[in-house]
Amino acid sequence: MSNDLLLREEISSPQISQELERTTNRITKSSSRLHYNARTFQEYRKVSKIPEFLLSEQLSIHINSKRDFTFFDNFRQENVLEWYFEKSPDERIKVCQDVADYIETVEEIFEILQWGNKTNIRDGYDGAITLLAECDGRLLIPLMLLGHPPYNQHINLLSTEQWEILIKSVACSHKITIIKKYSLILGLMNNYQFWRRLVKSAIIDALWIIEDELDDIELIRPILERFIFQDADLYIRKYAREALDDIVSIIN
Amino acid sequence: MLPTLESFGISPPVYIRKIRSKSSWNPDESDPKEALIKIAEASFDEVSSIWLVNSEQNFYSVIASLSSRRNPRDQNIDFIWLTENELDSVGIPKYQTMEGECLFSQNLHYNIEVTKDLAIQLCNILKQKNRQSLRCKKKQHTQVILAYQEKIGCKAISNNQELCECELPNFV
Repeated sequence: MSNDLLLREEISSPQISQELERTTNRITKSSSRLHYNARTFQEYRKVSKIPEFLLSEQLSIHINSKRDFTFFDNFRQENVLEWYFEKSPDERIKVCQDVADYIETVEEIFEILQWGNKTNIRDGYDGAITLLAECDGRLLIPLMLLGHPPYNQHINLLSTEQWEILIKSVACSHKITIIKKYSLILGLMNNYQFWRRLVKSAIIDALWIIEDELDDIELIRPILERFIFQDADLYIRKYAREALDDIVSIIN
Repeated sequence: MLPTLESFGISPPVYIRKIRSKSSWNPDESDPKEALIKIAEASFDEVSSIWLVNSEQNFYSVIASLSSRRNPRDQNIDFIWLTENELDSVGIPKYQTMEGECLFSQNLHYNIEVTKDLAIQLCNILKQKNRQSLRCKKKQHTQVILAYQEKIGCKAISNNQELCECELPNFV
């Protein structure tokens, strides 16, 4: 079974299509960085065909009520994310697992990606990665698949900064198996020509993060060598070389 | 082997500012003005943490505190250094606030208030000086530093009941 099929199978359950439709609609309306002209999700569907795994009944994440604590219930209507990001970085790490249990929709994942880019939040970037890494992996996987063929027309649904956060979050995730993490990162290489420096370096960073979990340098080396020997950007070539040198280094 | 400040090209005293990523300090925008705005936005928040580093031990403690906020802990840490004069030159005040799980690092932490304009001015100065982003690399640096900090009983690594060496008299 191909990696892509493997991943799609993982996300085949009912419900998320509606969430994603709402999210995509909102993003379509509010984001000026989108490269398509459609104003609404419906129009967007007509002109560019949203990938079926994001629309069909088959894709959805149904997370049954799993709350055995009520502490956050008070915040549910307020905004648990606001509560989380207003905490100091030292406090966030202590509550991120509990907050992550409250994240049930892809829309909320988008929201976290946006929080990670706000400059009025202290160290929001790290706070977002830490939180996303604790979220249900089935919420992250569909977004990562937007960076895989044949869905490359949707790459600009996320900014390069949001891709950076998402890719590193998947690498750090405790809710995605290592082989799926690897497949999700590897799949991005098939859209190589679409990625800018920030995303390419995030892919390299992600491999750097998972290398010890993978425990097989030969799974990583060819990807890094693709960057080292074939990328047009000298910065990226050096970046990948630095990563490979560190990964194979033997510490005294 | 534990890294030295000299190996990073740092001459103390300096302030360390952890940035989002090395590439956020080196964006591929072709327009220099756009690039500077990107750098400023990715490097400084309205309230930003900086850490005073006077010695190797200061640096190790700061790395331990920064790592304790992440999971997995042993990741690359990308940062820039800046001086008091550079902060003063654009009128950025700093306020000492105790922060960080490493007890030794708590007194090294400051908050600075940085508006978007001030962030752009500061980054412009640093870029004109060709200030490079630095990287505490996962295996060669971060893991080694965290192992050392664990050995001395750092609370950022393990919050047990035992005293950290930094709580003993004459700790450097």
